[in-house]
Amino acid sequence: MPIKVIFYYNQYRQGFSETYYHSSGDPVAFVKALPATFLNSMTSFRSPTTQLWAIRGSLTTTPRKSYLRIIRGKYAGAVLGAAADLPDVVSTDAVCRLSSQGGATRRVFLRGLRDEWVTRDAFGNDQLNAPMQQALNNYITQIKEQGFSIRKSQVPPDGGLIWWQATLLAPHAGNALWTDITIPVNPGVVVNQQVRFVGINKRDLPYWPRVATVVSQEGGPPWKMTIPYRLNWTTYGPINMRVTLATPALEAIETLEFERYSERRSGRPFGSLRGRSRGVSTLRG
Amino acid sequence: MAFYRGRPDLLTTVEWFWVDDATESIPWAHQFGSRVYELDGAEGPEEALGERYTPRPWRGGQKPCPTPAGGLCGTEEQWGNGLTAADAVNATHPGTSVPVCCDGPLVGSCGGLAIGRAGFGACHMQSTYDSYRPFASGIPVVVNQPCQFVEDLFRGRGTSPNNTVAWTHYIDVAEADDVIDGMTRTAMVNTLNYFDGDEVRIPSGGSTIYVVVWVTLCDSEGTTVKRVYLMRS
Repeated sequence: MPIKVIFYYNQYRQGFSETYYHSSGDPVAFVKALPATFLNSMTSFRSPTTQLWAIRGSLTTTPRKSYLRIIRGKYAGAVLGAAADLPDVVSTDAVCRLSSQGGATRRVFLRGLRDEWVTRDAFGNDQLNAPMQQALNNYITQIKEQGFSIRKSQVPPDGGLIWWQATLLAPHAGNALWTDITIPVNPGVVVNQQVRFVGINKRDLPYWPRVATVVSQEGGPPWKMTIPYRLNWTTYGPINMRVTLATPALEAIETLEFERYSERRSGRPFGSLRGRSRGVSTLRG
Repeated sequence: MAFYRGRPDLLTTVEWFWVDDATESIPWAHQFGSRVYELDGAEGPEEALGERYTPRPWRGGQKPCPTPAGGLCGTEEQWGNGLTAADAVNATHPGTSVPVCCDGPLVGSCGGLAIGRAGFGACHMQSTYDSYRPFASGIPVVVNQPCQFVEDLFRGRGTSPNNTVAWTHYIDVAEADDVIDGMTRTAMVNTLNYFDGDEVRIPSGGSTIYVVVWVTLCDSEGTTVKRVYLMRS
């Protein structure tokens, strides 16, 4: 039963987080046991004003229990000297690509950096300076040592990409917080499987999930699958929405590759429902 | 939020807000955190315990009132597997709704016992209503319209020593429904003058009468509704 581990950082009362996955089945034991060496490696390349504030471990399957370990700034960027300790002034992220042995990749946006370490050469190319490179090497070594994983979506799950055309949406009978999706062919999807959507009309269907877990299904024709979504329509259709299976799986992180610095604010502030919410996980090859 | 083991019908409304840095955290794994942090890009099925699936209106996270920063209530078993109706109810600090297992501050604190707010046998229900204007006129304005009827004496009550009651219930009705209160304000005075608003009967055609105290628009689970605060008449 894998767990999701979220690291919450604090910099001048601004929050950001980084999310990783682990195959451990016990969020309490795992989060409590994360060693100081690892926690230091997560913060050493950042400004001293960037503090690791809390770690949350959550089961990703039922029952989704979670545990929060509050650290309150015990781990922060090391104090190296006046210039090196300056916090980054434009919220620059180090954009890195994590890869697994199986070829899954995921971008991470490392924030709260030291201004002096964010460097660019004469041609405008982002460069890692020596201490930043050493710190990232240490970071990925520790990430691997602790056994963190990428959570990838197996697309297609069965060797052939099958998209089903949805024709109609309607509130689920007996539960207005669920939506029935009508499909004219038999998708063979069972309860608790995850499905992925394309062709979502975001104006008419605000907050429609990109991926959702099927909570009910009904044989056909036509066939119906139900997801947790409160539909603000009596019925909605015809639609240009297509559905496919999405099967999540974990693969151990193997390498880290620095791509560039990004001056866009990324990551999701604590509790924000808008903006960048997660890195992209894909399967290569 | 479903706090009770085996009773998914007993729900308690919760309001999320930021706490002080020094606030203690729960030392055990539990399911009563915000589902915002558990989505994994996919809304999973609702679980037997924990937050129900609803759109989550974002309101900034300010504290609605002083909150206790310490003290641990409940057991590992209760946090891990939910409450039961047989669980003992904690005593509260005198004159407050704060359990004695919580530290201060106490004055003006909100929150309290889950069992008190869940209200076995009380709270939310779908119903219908009629409204009459003015109060007791017998002239119907709205007839047999659906509403979400909520007992809300806990929040509407005054505190010691006055113990006045501002409202006892509220109903959420369609935004277009014609229901008005009777509040007025005198120019250059920053207080409201109470006057009876519409008369409301719940359920429609029934004999239970309420007076409209205050009407406002609000966001309820992602939909704009008209929230009508009522006092039992």
